[in-house]
Amino acid sequence: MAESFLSTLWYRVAGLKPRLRPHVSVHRHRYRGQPWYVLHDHASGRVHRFTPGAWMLIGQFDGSRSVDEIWRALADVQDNHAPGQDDVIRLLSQLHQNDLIRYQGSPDVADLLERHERNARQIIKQNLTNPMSFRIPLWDPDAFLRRTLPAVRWLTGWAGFCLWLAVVVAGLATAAVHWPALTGNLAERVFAAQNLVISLVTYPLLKAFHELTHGYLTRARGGEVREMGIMFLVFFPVPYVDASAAAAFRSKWHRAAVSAGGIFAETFVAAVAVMVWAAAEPGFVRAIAFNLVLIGGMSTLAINGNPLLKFDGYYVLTDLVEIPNLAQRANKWWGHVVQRYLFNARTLKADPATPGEKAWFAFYAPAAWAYRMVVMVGIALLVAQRFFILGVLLAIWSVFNSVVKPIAKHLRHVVTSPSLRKVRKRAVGLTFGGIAVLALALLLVPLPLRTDTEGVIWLPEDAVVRAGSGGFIADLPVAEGAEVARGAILARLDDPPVETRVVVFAARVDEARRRLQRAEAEDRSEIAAARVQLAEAEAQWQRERERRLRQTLHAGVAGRFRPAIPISDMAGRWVGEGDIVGHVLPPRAEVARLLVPQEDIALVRERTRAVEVRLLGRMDQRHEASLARSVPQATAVLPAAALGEVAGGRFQTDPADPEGATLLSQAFLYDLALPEALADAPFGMRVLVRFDHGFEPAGWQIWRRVRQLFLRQFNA
Amino acid sequence: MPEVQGLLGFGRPSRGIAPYAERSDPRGNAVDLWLERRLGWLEARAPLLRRRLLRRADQVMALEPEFRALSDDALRAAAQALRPRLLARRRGDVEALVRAFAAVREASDRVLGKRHYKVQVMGALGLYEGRMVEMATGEGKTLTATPAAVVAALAGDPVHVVTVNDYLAARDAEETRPLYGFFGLTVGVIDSDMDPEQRRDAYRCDITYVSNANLTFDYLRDRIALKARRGQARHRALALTRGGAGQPLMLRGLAFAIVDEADSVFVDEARTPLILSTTADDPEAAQLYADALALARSLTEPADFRIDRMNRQVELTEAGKRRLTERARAARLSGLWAIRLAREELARQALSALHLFESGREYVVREGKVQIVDEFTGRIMPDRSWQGGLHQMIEAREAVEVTGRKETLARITYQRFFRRYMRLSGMTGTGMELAAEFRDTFDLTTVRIPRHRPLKTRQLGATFVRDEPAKWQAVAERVAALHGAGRPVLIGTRSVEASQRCAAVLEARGLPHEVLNATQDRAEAEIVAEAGRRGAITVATNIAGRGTDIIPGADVLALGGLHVILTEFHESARIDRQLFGRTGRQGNPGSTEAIVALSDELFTRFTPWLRRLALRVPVRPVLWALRARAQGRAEAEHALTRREQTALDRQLERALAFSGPTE
Repeated sequence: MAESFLSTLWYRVAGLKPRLRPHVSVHRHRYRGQPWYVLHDHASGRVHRFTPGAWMLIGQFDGSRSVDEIWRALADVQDNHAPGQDDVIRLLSQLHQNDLIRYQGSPDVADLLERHERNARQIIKQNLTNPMSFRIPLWDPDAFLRRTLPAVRWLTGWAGFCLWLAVVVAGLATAAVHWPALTGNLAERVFAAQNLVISLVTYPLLKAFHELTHGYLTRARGGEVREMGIMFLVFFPVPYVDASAAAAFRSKWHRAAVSAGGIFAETFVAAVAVMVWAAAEPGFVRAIAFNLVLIGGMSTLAINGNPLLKFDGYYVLTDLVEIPNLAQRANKWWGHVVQRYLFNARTLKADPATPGEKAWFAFYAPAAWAYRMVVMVGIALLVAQRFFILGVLLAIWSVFNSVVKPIAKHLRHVVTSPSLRKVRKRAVGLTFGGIAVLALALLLVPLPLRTDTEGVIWLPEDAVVRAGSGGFIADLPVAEGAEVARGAILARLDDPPVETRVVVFAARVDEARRRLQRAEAEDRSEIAAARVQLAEAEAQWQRERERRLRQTLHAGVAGRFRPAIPISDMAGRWVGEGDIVGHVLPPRAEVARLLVPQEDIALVRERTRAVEVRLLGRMDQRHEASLARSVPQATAVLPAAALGEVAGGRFQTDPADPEGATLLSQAFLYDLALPEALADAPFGMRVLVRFDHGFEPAGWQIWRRVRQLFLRQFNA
Repeated sequence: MPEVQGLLGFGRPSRGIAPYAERSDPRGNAVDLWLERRLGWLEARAPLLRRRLLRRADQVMALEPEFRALSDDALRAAAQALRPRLLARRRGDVEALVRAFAAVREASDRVLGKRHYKVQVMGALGLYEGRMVEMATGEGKTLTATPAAVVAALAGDPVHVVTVNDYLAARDAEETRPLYGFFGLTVGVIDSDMDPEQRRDAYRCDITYVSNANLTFDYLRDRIALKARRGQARHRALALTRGGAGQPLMLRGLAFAIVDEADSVFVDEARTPLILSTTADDPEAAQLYADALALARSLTEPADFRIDRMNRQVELTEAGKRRLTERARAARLSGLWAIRLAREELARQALSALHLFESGREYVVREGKVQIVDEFTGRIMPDRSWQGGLHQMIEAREAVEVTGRKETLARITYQRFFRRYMRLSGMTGTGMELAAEFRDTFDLTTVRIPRHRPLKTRQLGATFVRDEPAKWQAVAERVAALHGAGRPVLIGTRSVEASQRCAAVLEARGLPHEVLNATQDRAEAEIVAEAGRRGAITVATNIAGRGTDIIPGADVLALGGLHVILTEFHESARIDRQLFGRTGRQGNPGSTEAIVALSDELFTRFTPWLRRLALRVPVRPVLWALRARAQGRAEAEHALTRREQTALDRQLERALAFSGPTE
C-alpha cells in the first residue's frame, strides 16, 4: 500500500495523551553524521534509536496534549516532511510495544495478557531452539562493581590500554618465535583428554574475567550493570553480563571500549600465557598456559573478536562504523533489494539508510553468512574427527540453522507475504524458477567427472644393480654415466673365500667321483652312498660357482650407469649380498606407477575414458597417457616415499610408521605407460594424474561422495 | 448451539466485556484456523447433521395431528407451557423443542395459511441450532426463519432477523407478523430513517427485523455510548450512582441472530469494514478537491501514474510525484499541498475519482448527492460514503455540493461483529462453496437442506458475443421472441448504467418493459409484482437477485414460466445462481440463459489472455474455460482479500492495543 496521509484509524489515537515513562532517559547521539535520539529504558535495560523526525513527536508527549493536537501543530510547522497519520500511529504502536510510553485510561487487558503470554513463550522457545543463548540471570552485580571499581579504575582508561598493548605485543613476539612448536599438531592437542579437562576449569574462569571487564568498563563510564548470570553455550555454562547500558553512551569510543572489553581481557591473558608457556618446563603449568593461549588467543581471533560473527568484535565494529544493528539491517536491506528490484515490488518502502551504510550492508550480510558457515562447518569437522556422532549432530544443527531454516522462511515469505501480493507471480516465478534451474543444472547438466591422483616415474626393477653376492669391489669397467648395453658387465666383486670354496668343493667332487668308481669296482654295496655324496658335492660346487658368477654384475637393461656412491669411493669397498651398487637408468622413462585411493577405484576401473598426466615442475604441460597394467593390485605400502604426505604427496601415511611408508587406508597400484614427451622425466619424480570419466551432472557426483563419506564413517 | 469456540475448543463461550450478552473476540491460531477450514468443508459435505435434522423434523411432523386438534387458545397455552422448559434446559430438552416447533407449524397454518414443509422444519431446526442452512432459492426462507425465531423468543432471547436491506426487512416482518402475534410476541422493524428512540423501541421487541448495516451501526452506536465503561458491573454501578448510564443503549444483547442471505452479508459485503462517522465542517474543502482534480487532469498515464485495475488502485510514479510538486508550487497552492504525503494522497484520490469510478456503476447522482451503489445488491446505500476524502472528490467531479469530510467515530468488520453473537445462524441459497470460510471466520457449520419439490428449470446455457452492442442486440432479439410467445422475461444487468443501455435497446425495438434499478426503488414492490405476469419484460440490476419473489401467473406457468437472461457474469458464480434462482421457485417451471460479451469487465480484468484467445477461437471449450477461469480467479482473489483483511484486522488491533479496548 502506498503511504497515506490521513488514516481511518486516527479516531482511535486522536484523543490519547501519551507521555514517556519516567524511567526512560533520552540521549542525543550522532551516527554517521546524522543525529539520532536514543531512548534508554532503564527498566528493561534496552535501548531504542529514533530519528529526529520521530523525536519531534515523542518529545512532545508530555501527558497534557493529545496526539491530535501534537500532530496538527507539527503538520503546520513541517511543510514538506510532515508525518502522515499512519506514521504517527505506527510510532505510537512501536513505543507501546516497547513499553516506552504510558497514557491515561485502561489499556486493552486481553491484549496485554496475550502479549505477556507471547513474550513468555518467546523466551522459552528461544531457549529451546537456540542452545547458544540459554540465559539464566542470577545476580545484580552493580553494587559489587561500584565498590570494587576504585581498585581497578586506573585500568579502565588509557593506562590500562597501554598496559594491554605492551603485554599483547610482547606476547605476539613470543608466539612468533615459538610458532611451529605452538601450532604443531594442533587438533590432536586441542582434543587431548588433558586439555579438555583443563578447559572445563579455565574456560568459565576466563569468561568470568572477560565479563567482569565488560562490567567494569561500563561502570567506569557511568553505565549501570544490573544483570549477570549463566549462559549455556552449546550446553557449556559460561557467565555473561548485561552491558547494554553502554549503548546509551554518547561517544562511540566509549561504546566500542565496552564492547571490546572481552577482547582486551582474553588477549591479555593469552599474551601472558604464551610467555609463561615459552618459559615453563613441560608439565602441568605449561599445559595450562597452552590451554589459555588457545582459548584466549585463537578463539578471540576466530570467533569472539571477529566482526563477522555476532560476538564482541561485531559490536566493536558496529560502534566504530556507527551502524547499530548492522547484521539485522544488512539482511533486511538485501531482502528489500531482492523484493524491490528482482521481484519489482515497487510499493515497498525501504528502511532509511545512507549510501555508506548501504555499502556496508551489501558487503556484510554475505560475508558474515559465508564466514559463519565456514566456522560452523570447520568446528563440526574438527569435532567429528574425535567425536564423530557429536560432530555430525553439530553439523546438522548448524546447516539447519543457517541454510534450511532461512531458506524455508524466505520461501514462505515469497509465497504468503501480503507485501508481495501484487508481484506474487513474478516473485514465485523467479524464486521457484531459479530453484528449478539450479536443480536441473545439478541433475541434468553434465559436468566433467575426473579423478585426480599422484604417482611416480617408475624405475623398473631390472634397472637396479644389486650385488648378487657379498664381496669387495674389485673391478669397475664402466665409468659413471657411461652408456651400457643390456647384459654389459658393470662391476666385478672379489671375495677370496668364495674362490677357495670353489676349489675345495671341486676337490670334493673329484674325491666323491673317485669313491664312486672304487665302489663300483670293489664293493657294490657302497655305490648308493657314494652316489649321494657325489651329488651333494656337485651341488655345493655348483652353488659356489654360481656365487662366483654373480660377483660379476650385469646391466639388467640398457642405459646409463649411475653408481650409488661416487665411483672413486667404490674400489675395494665391501658390499653385502643384495646391496644396491648403482642403477642403470634406461634412456627413457617408460612407466609411471600410481596409487588410486580406494574410494575412487570403482570409477577408475569402470569408467576411465582417458588419462592425462602432468609432471611436477612442468605443470603447464599435459600429456595423454594410457594404462600399461590395468589389473590393479591393492597395497597398504607406498610404492615410493615421494607419494606420502611427509614428502609432499597427497597420501596420508600412518604416523606410527617411522618410515612413512604405510598407508592409512588401502590403495590400488596402477602402471601408466608414459608418452614420448615425458621420456626425459627424471625417475622418482612425482606426476599428477587425472583420469577422465566423461561427464556427469554435479548432483550425481556430490551424491556419490556423500554416500561414500557416510559408508566410510559408519563402516569404520 | 454451534460447537463452542469451534470443535477444537472446550468450555463455555467466553463473554465479551459489555453490559449485555455477547461473546469476546476469538483468538485462534493459524493451525486452528486451518483445521477449522478443513473441518467446515468436510462437515458441510457429510450427511450426519442433515440426518439428525431430518429425524427431528420427522418428530415435528408426527405431532401434526395432536396440535391440529387443539383450539387456538389451547395452542397458545401449550406454547406458553413450554417456555420454562425451553428456558431452563436449552440444549438437552429435545422434546420441548420438537413440541414448540410443532406448535409454531400449526399456528402458521392457522394464521398465515402456510404450513411448513418438512424441509422448512429441517431448516428451522438447523437455524435454531446455530447452523448455516443452505436451502435452494425459492424454498421459502422467510417462513423457515419463523419457528426458530419464535422458539428462541419464547426462550427469552432477543432475536435479530437480519436481512440485506430495509425493504426486505419490512416485507419479511409484515409477512410473518401475524404468526408472532399469535404467540404474543412483538415484532420490531428497523428502517434507516428512524430516530434513535424509534430504533430503541424496535429493538425492545421480542423479534427485530433489521438490515445488516443498520444492526451493525446501532451496535457501534452502543459502543460509542458506553465509551470505556463497558463492563457489566461498571455499567450498573454508573446507573445506580447517576441514575442512568448516560445515553441508553440500543440493543439488548447479541443473543441470537438469523441472517438471511448470509453469503451476501458474511462474504460479499464483509470486504470493507463498517464505519460510523460524523461530518466535520471544512469550508475550504471544495476548493481543495477542485484543485486536486485540476492537478490530476494534468497528469498522464503511464508517465505520471499507473492504474492497477485488478486491485482498483492508482500508483504515482516518481516522475509523477515530481511533476505534482512542481505543479502545486506553480499554482501557489498552500496548506495541505505543502505536505508531501497529503499532496500525493490527494492526487491519488483525484486520479481514482477520475479513472476508477463511474457514474451509474459505482455510484449515482440523485437529488444533488453522490450515492453509492452496492456492487452486490445493486441498491443505493444512502448513508454510506467512501472514506478518506474520496467521496468528496467524486462530489467535486460531479459538480454537486461537496459535503464535509467524514470523521470516523468507530469501525468494525462484519467478521468481528457477527462472531460476537452468542448464537449465530444463517440462511442462504448458495453457501456450499463457502462452507470452509463460514467455519473458520464465523464458526458456522453449513448444512444443506434438500429441495421440497424437484427443480423444473431448463438451463439454456450461455451465449458469448463479441462486444456490448452485439450483446444488447442479441438480448433484444431473444426477448422479442419470448415476448411474442407471451412469456415473462427478467433481464439481469450488473450495473445501473447497463440496465439503462439495455432499456434503450428494448425501447428502440418497441418492446414494453420496466426497469428496476437503484434509482427507483420506491416502485420496487409493484414492479416485482408485475414481473411474473404474462408478457412482462423486466430489466433489473442485482437488486432482483436476492429475496425477490417473482410469482408467475397460472397462464404463464402453462407457457413455460419465467425466463431469466443474465447479461453479464458476476465475479462469483453464486450471484449468477441467485439471479437464475428467480425462476423455477417452489418447483415451478422456468428457464434460464446467459448472453454475455467477451468485452465484459470480468474477462478483461481477470483473464485478459484467455479472452484474446476466445476472440480468435470462439469454440465451446475455450468459452467455458474462460468463464470458469475468470470467476475462479475472481473468487480466489476475493477470498484471499477477505482472509488477509481478517488477519490485517487482528494485526491492527494488536498494534492499536494501546488505544484502549476495541469497538
